[in-house]
Amino acid sequence: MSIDPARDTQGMQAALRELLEESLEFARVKDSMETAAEATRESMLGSLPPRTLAAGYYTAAEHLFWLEARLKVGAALVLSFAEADGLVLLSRARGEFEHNHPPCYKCGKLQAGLFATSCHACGADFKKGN
Amino acid sequence: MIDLAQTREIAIKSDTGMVYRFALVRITSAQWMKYFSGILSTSEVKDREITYSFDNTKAIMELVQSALVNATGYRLPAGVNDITQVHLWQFKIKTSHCMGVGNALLHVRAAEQEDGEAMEIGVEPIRLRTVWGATDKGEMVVHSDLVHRLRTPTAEQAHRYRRDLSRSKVVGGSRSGKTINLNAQPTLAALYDELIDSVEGYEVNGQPLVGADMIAREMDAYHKVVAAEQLFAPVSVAEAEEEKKAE
Repeated sequence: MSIDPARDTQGMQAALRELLEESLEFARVKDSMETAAEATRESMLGSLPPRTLAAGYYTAAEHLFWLEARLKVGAALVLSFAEADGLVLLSRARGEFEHNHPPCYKCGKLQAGLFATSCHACGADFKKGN
Repeated sequence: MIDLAQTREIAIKSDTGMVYRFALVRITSAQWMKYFSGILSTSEVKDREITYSFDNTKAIMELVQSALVNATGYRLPAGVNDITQVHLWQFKIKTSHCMGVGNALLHVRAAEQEDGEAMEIGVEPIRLRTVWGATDKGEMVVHSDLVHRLRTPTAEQAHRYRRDLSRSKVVGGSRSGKTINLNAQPTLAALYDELIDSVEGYEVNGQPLVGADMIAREMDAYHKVVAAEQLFAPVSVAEAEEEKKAE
């Protein structure tokens, strides 16, 4: 039996969440990677959160990110049912992601979790009720 | 100049220097679509390692066998003067020879734009390089003067391509399963027909291809796919080192 990833709601939800988490982690290590040695770069890439699903889910999820970006700038596109449903899942996953990773009040960088005590990027202190 | 209507000749040289020549009937769009649907492109994740595989062997063999109309260079059974007199001769051609013919059919690449050639706004010139036809010495003729002028795709056309490119099916479970990528070539061929403006380097029975309808009807589907794919290929930006300011 084969699965169409774009129509597998649970799988797509998981893939979208994983890609969002991966993008956050990648943004965190990207600058250091540019100057790191080859072996360190590989180890940094290895530290990215693992992808747990078959590759087809991520390809379908990446398509939703592509679509979302075009729709945001007003492109008039005719969506399939699977795409429309997928965009709803992406909107939910993004809301959840933004809730779990609030931006730093000072530099705007997204934080690793809800309970960080200082900003990993600029060092701003979160303990003083900021 | 490539004459799309003529029987296509492909020559291959064996390791021993023997030249084998093959004549192929014009390959129809339906035959190309059957080939595309037969390509098996998969990816599988194991222990965080992703393995990609691409297998077109069966599909290209079938395409070649369906298009072959003659072959020379082979020793024939006693009393037989022509290979076409041999029952099911197309299926008796050595696999590596069939694959060699197939590789020649698939040898279509994007070529560099000419230096200093300004692009007309709204129309993208795509240059292709291919091998088509063989010399008397058994060498394939390279054509690098092929130009396809395609109109810039709309957002909706890009969307159709991206959507079809992202389609796949997963077999063996959502987590440990194998992803089979579904091919987007039929969409590229359809987009080509919608976007083509003019071509250079092709003719049909000695007549140039004029007008979008004629080009869409006559153009080789594989050339359509390779040309249309270039519309969506990223263009690299030119880089220059920052000039150091004099202290």
